[in-house]
Amino acid sequence: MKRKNLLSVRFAYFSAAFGIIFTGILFTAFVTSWRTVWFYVLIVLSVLVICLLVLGYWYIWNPYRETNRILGYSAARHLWEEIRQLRWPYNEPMQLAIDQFVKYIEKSTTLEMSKRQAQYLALQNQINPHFLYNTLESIRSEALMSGLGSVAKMCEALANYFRYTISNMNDLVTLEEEIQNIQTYFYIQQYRFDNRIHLTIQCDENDRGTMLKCMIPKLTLQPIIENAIIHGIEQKIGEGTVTIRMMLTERRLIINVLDDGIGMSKETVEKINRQMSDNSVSSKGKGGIAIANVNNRIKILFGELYGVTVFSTVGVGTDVEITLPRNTKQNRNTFWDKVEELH
Amino acid sequence: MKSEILRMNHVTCLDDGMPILDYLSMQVFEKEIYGILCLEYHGIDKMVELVCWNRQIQNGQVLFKEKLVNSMEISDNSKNRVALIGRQSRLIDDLSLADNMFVTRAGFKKFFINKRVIETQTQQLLDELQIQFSPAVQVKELGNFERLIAELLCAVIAGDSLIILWQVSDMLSSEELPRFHELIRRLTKKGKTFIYIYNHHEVLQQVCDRVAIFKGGRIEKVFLKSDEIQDYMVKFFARYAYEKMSSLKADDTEAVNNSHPVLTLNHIHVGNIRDLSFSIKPGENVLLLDKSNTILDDLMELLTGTLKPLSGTIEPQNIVERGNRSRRIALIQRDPINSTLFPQLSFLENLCFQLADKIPFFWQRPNLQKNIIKEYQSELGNLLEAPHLYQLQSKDLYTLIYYRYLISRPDLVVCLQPLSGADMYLRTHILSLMAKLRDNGIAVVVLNTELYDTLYIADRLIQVENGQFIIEHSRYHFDELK
Repeated sequence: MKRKNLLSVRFAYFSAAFGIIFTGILFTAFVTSWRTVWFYVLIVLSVLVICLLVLGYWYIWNPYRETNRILGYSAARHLWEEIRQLRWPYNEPMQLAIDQFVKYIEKSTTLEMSKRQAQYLALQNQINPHFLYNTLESIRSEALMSGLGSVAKMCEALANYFRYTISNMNDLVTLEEEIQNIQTYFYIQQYRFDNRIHLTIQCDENDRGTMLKCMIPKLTLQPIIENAIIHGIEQKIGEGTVTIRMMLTERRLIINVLDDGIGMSKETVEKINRQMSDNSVSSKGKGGIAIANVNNRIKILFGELYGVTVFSTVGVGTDVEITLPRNTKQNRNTFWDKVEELH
Repeated sequence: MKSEILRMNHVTCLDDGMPILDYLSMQVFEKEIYGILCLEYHGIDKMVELVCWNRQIQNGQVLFKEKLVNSMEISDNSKNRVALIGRQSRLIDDLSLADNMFVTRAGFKKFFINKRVIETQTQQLLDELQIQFSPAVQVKELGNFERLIAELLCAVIAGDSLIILWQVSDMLSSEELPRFHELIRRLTKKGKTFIYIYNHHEVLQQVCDRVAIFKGGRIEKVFLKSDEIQDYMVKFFARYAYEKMSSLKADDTEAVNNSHPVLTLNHIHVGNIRDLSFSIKPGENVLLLDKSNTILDDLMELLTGTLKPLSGTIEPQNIVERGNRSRRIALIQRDPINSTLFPQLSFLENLCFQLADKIPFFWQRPNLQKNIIKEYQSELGNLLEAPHLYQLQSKDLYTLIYYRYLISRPDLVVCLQPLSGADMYLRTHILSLMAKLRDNGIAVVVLNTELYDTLYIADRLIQVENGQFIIEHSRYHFDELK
């Protein structure tokens, strides 16, 4: 769009022209009224004009700039949530347009979430958990009777993994449960990788008890660990280690997942961090979807101050830092409750 | 359980649309010494500014003591309780240590100052930290190490939770550095937190609990104290730099050994220098390591002719005479790009500055200038056409400084702490420029307080302590020192 079509540009030009002409008139008036009564009247009027300009700065110009900033930020970052915070619309039609736009955004978001909920339920219904567990138990029994202890253990691990992933409808679990699931998952993966991968879990022993009771979204760590194995260590020659480091502060639970795999290029890391900062999920990019999904869920549940950060260097490995609030209470603010709030 | 002092989440800062900080994320815990290793300096100034002040950012959040203090929506330019200790001293020279600590701090409102009270309080703090100072000593009488301690104590008294140490190691000798590190460890036990910014991992890993690699306006990796940073630096993060430095060693020493020395100091006594003797030959690079950090400035003044020796001789006799037009000794001070260049003059004018002193009517002879351009076009390229220095990067400015002496060909170039303030890549470039001087038959003396990378291009190492010669090593024994 051409600049001359912008009303703000036209307004600026006209204001400048008006200001110049007004100043000329005022100057002429001062000169012609010199040493007359009207001179003092003009002085008073000038003071009033200056006061009006100052008031105009506070009551018109500053709100105008704030509105411009919010609109500019929303347009640049494609984050239309900020529009809700617009305090100073230009006029009533604009206010009405924004209200309609916000309703449209909420409806789209709700629709999208509802779609996902439906997809999730459909998927769940296709997998009958009891049938799955019973089948796995049968395989396990058969393996034990045949003297294949390792196969029996693998079946048991797989059953535990599915039981955690599919059956449990709660979206917040304890860190202890999540770590147990990770260990189960790792046990299964080690069969595939022939003990080439190792898992280490580190934390301060003094905080261990409190830390393990912290509530975190279910399946926070598993996608990250999976990424570390598939995209990091699997591509590497030789053995690899995934380290989980957990720290507790007064308000946060910080979990670092580190791997010594092949790492990611600078451009890939930039793209992932940008996606997470913008809360967007791209359909492309290996590993980016899982990390972005975890990040989105954390931000929806707990706010912008928490989430995921990725550090990676080619040849060195990848560090993923997950920041969560230190929350030991089971509360109702699950992901799907947030969806219902939006209806 | 740890407490978080500082957290920066995905902080982005733009300058003319270009990112200075690019989704920078870091967190610092209380009572921690958090090291930041600058592979590149791009963005580090802005990061420090954002830690100290809540300036406008384009993305992300900054939390100080778990409270949101800065974000894209709220940037109130307020100051955080952070102290910055760097090359620029904030002490007032004409006041005593106690006055600097108490009287000049924000919030001191008394009109009548009871000297005895503040000196007693200062002495208590000094005793607690096992520091042997007098509270009444004037700051201008303190050396570099003592001044740093004084700045630390000022930050402690001011109640700042977080203290940034920026390139302070350059001011300390190899003896003073461990004592300084011991002091900051003691201060962490008293609840202080440090961000230690430096450009060499060997310093940071001595004292830091964690070391973050800073490059391109972001943190790339964070190492714990137990991690082997040296291996990662050599193999990954600074691989090019280490490979380049390893290739800078001189090959042929026979020609050097047979030549006559360009400078010989015999039993020199002056200032803090006590009975110092050494010589240097053309094409040789000698590293003089001052372990106690007492003689470097005296030595520079001696070589400029400002200081005359009380006893001893310098040979050849006229080499250090002041106003000597032949300029047989060239001196490159610390931070030369800010002190020896004329940014409003062109690159060529700066380049030929020294040469113009040697050759009469140089600027009236355009053919000479054309010859220089022709000779150095292949090495300096478009830099020769730069009309001024304002747009040039640090790397190009260092190239200018060293090529200036490559052209004017003094007998000896003395470099005072040449790598001070340079990031990893710039260090490699400076070392390659010094190697070029050496390879062109110019003798180079490097005056330094630490070894680190300067050993890569040295032929000999002379160790001096308290102004006296201790020992000399040839480069064949450098591996033992590393």
